[in-house]
Amino acid sequence: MCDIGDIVLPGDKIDNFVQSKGKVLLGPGLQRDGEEVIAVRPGIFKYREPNIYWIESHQKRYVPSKDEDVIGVVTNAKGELFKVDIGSSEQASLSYLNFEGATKRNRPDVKNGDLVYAKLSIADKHAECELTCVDRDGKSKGKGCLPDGGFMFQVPLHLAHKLRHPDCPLLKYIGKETAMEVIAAMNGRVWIKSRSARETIAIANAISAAEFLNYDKMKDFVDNFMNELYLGSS
Amino acid sequence: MAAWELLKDQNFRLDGRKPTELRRIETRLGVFPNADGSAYLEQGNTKVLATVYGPHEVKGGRGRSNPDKAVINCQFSKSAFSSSERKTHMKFGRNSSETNQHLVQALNAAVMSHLYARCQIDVYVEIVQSDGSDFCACLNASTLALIDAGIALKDIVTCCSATIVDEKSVVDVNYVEESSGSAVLIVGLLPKDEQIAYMQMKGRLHADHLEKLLDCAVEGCRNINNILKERIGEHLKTHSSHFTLTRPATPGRAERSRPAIA
Amino acid sequence: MKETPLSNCERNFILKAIENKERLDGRQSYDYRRIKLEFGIDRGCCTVELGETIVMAKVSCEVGQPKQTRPTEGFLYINVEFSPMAEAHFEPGKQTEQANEMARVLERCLRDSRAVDLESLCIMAGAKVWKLRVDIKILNYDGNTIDASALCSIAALSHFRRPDITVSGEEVTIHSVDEKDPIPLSIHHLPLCVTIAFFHQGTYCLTDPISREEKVMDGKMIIGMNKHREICTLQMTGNMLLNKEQVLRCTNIATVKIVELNDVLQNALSADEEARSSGKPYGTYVADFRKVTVKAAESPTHSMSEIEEEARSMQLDSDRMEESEEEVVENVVKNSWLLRIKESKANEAQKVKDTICSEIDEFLTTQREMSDLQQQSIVNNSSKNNGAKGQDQDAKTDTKRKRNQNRPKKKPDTQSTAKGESLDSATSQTKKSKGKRKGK
Repeated sequence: MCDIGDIVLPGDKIDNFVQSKGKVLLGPGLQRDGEEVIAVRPGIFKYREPNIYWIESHQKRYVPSKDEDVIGVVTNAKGELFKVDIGSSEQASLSYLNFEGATKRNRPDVKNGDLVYAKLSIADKHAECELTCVDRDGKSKGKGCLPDGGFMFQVPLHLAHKLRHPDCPLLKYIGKETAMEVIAAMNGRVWIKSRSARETIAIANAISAAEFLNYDKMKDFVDNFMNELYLGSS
Repeated sequence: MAAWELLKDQNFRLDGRKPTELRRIETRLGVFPNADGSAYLEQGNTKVLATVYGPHEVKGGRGRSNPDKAVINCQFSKSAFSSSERKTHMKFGRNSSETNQHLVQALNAAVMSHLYARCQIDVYVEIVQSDGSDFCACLNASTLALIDAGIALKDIVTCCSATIVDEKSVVDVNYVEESSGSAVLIVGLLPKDEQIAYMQMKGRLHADHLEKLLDCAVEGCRNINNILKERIGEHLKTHSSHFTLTRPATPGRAERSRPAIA
Repeated sequence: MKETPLSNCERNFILKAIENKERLDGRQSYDYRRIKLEFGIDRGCCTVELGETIVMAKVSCEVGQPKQTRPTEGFLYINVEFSPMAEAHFEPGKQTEQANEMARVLERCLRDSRAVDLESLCIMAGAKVWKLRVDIKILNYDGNTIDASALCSIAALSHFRRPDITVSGEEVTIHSVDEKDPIPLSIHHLPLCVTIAFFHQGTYCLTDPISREEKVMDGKMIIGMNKHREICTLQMTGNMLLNKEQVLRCTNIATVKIVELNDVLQNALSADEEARSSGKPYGTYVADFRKVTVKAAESPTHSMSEIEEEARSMQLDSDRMEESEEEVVENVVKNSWLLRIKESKANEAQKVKDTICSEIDEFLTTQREMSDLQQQSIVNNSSKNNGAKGQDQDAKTDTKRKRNQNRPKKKPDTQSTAKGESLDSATSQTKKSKGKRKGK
């Protein structure tokens, strides 16, 4: 039937699972239909050890899911709960206490229109999504308000996943050539900060252009791109 | 059309004006007792009434209010009896909505809206008699009404139209000149710094003539500005002597006991 | 749904980039995005893609009564609709303000400037006239819909054919397409619009703003102009203040851009005519403004000489989805910035090629002359004798000398070898051209 790496269409039955500890974890794109498992999205059937299966499909609109890191735009920074737009169907809320070092007296400096990098602590279909910029120990670990001077743009979700994948060398190669800070969030938003506006725009365009590149072609792509950048910069 | 008739040999226009001469401007402030500010303006035979209500609460809920600035809302209306043939104009038609937007744009340039955050200022304009340069008269009347309402303004927005007839630019076009088909330029100016807040051109004009036409319209705006300033000064002088703690409305207005519209 | 708010970070970045004369897609300040004009099978239907903004226009006509005040004029009515397909936050009926503004600008540009001859639409004075209607639909919104719509509507009007009619006394017969060929509209001139967006209180200006640039701009100036430098409409929108110099600078910029846009329009119309005459249903034309083409007047705040010196701009295409991965990678490579390297190398190679080509052309012309002279001399020799011979012998020896110079080397000689690189291309050129000659 369907092997790992095959293209599946909605409605296709999947039945060759490797069971580990008797459990099989079905990721996005796979649903149980009674006794069977069917694919509900078109895409490539993927597997990760020990027992995780999912379908890699093309999607632009983000659907919130627990424990995912997202970049949001603050739309209402008044009161106890900040309203943050994360690109999903509803705006998420972020309590002002969920920042590192924030207390009732020490409010974080957040204005309307600021960008925050946060984690979805609650993403239930029955409740409003909630974000948090700190983990259980109260440490931010890079989350929080993003500094000025960067640029944010939207990419399709699969590209954001690719960028976050440890095997993807794109950001690593770009990072070797030019100094930059990059955050690729699960809701398809990528934030970049580099030395100059020109470099930032160039990196942003390079990332968008690398949407369908294979890992092995990335090295040449980045080399050419960087040569061009330094050739072109005056 | 009959453009050649518009400018005769001795350089006089059809209505006897010289090319750079404005029409007679007659103004009256404070014509309506209910409104926060009101004005009546005549530019030749074009007669316009403007009223201002505000700053007041934003209608349509908090969602429409702007936390930093005032929302200016304009409503333009042309009476059915204003033109030579009776014609009902749709209040919510395309032309009216465009004029509304343009009035808002021009007034936004002058009103210090950051002083009236989360408020709404309504400006209602009615054309009672139309004889060309309708928009200019509307904008001038709105400015006067805003001044009468005491709303803080950066500068007085004046508006003037100009057209080119026989390679000469003429200012303050009337209806005949407007409908002759030549290009008409309307400029809304903040005279202090000579900054253009609003500009619109209709008709066809060669790019080389633009500068000339623009100069003419700006000069017209400057002259209108001087006239309006004079009139406002006179109005304040006559009414300041009646300023008491209570509303001085009646004594001042009783002086001009003629009906508001001549 | 609600519009995604623009974050402060994006706003500040875009403004800062504009200060450094950088745009988000790598264009120069006065460059237009890639324009694609496609006509439909029906006459009068046109789609324009300006970057990612897609606009469609359709012209239709019907017979009706004229206005009483103007009994010999037809009607031209323009209607603009923002489809909810265009943007996530567009709702049907909600964008009326913007749509109205656009429709009024286009009406002023097309109708009030007498671009379309309304008197030619008269069938029977006072009784029957043609009513033209241009329906414009915005299918995808990425900024600068006015320029795209103006181009689209004038292209559709030029493309449109109205049914032919015969008037006999009081009766009017409208012939269908099968009976008589439909006739084109009488269009005096082709007005097009240029939108110039202002930033930083009017200090910087850009043409063809994209949606994000429009969100951070102070305001914009819309100039409708035709290629004869006649301004058809001028409009300032937004909360900004300009002085006279800025206005005149805008008209200068517009003059240059209008010429480019006009070329696009003309090329598209002729491409469509060609396609139709060769049997295809409709034609398409794509214009890519890769080089900086603006030689606008000097402006105090924006130094055009810098822009002219740089002379490069790129466009990122986003329709990669359909192609296979390899093609996609190639396209990605093409469409990314690194094409500049190839281009710069290609430019050098092109220059070399050009010089070689010109030399080859000279060779060819001399060869042609030689062959003509040869033929003449042959003819003369055969028909006449000594008298002519003397003359021709000189010619012959001349030609022989030249031929001896050229003959043994099928490849062009030392001059081209010195240039090395494009040798193969040069030889292929000569072979090609020789082939052509033989064909003749």
